[in-house]
Amino acid sequence: DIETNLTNPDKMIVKYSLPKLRYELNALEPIISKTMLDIHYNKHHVAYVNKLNMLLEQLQEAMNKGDITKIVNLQQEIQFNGGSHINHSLYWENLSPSAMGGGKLPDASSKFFKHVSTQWGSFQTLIDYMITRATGIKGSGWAWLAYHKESKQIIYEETLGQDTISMKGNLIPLLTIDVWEHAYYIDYKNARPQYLKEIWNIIDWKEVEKRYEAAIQSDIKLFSYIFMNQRLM
Amino acid sequence: IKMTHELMKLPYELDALEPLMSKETLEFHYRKHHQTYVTKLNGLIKDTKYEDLPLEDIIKDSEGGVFNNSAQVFNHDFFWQSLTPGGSEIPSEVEDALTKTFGSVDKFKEEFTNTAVNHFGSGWAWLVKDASGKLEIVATANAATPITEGLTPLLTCDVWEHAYYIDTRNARPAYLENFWKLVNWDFVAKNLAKQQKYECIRRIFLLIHRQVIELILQSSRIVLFVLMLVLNPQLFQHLYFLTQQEHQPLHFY
Repeated sequence: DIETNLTNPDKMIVKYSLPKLRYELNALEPIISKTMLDIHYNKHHVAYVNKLNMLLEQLQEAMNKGDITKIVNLQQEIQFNGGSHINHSLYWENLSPSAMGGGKLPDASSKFFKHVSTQWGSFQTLIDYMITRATGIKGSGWAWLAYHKESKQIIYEETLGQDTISMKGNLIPLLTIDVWEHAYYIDYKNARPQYLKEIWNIIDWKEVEKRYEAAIQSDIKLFSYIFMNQRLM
Repeated sequence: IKMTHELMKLPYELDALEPLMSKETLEFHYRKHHQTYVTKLNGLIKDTKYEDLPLEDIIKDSEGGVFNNSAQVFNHDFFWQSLTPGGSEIPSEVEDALTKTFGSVDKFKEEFTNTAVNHFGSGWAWLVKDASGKLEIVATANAATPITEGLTPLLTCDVWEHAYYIDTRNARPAYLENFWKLVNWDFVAKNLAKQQKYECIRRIFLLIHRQVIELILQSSRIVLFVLMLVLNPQLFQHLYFLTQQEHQPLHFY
């Protein structure tokens, strides 16, 4: 029934914006140069956000008019640009300069550390595994560390294009690494393995641990953390 | 014959496509990316059934790593041939074919550019011809190539980020603008013409081939039957018996 499904035309559609980085553009050097971070953040991510907002406006219009064809046709691009916004936002959040704790493994007494050690043997095993798998991702995509709600396991996953981790099942993102060529080409050219080796120096394990803590809590807390704290609104 | 695939020789110098496509891009794209696909392919096909096959046959019969690397070798070979220093004039037969299908050469370029620019992620934009000669613009993802779909490629543009990131960074549309100024239309013409001839010959060959096989099968059936009867004359009796008593089990005396 189209009438009851129409949203209120006066309701303002949410406008998404670029999340603020916790660090300066040059702060991740020499792992990620200022130039590369600048273009990745201020050109690529911005374009995805602007496109997303434009598409959502069109979606709102189509919904108001009851144009079901348009509604359906917009889905693929919304999934792409929206997924990209989620992915990139998570990516910026789980990086930080060494001065802010980047590269520093979590405390050995923490729940997160113990879980990884029990399940993977050691952080180095997990890291080596992720480097190998992420190197092998064909084309453009993302490498993830995720918490699987049902099995309560910390697992590795990969998504292609701008697909986001939620599309792979009941998975909570803990860590994500962009392996699109634009994420490393300026600094590493074709040497993706080198980029993947170096990036661990700026992974913010505190943030990963925060996400883990939220993931193992109740669902209500989890949703509020993911959607509020990720500053996607 | 064991085949070791080699990186194709570039039809021009590494700096010949400047300033539209820099020497640095060629150095990485050709000497690193393309070379890696060749090296990896040779490593993967060693001591496998693919070792003796020509490239296109490997592509059509493989999957996973072998497909990925063999297809990317083909795609990049085709890409370098699609470009030429300073670009070229469009031969009249290509212009006619494009106008017939797309309305005009400019409209074709517009549609091709849109397909290339709007393709999500890594891949290729192609002008292809199907078996009936119809022209089409298709995009393939990652290593995928139209030859596995029975299509004949005429022109391609690499839209993996490594193809343009050094020169135009994230601006894929700017890269496409430069691409048009480098297209080797003579290569397109060659592809357009080549397959038509092959297609005719291929169809006639298949027809004759089929008829010949049928003939051989039929005649060999007859020969075998006659041979059987000659070697065992009693078979005549048994066969006659069989035809008269269809529901009785066969008894051998």
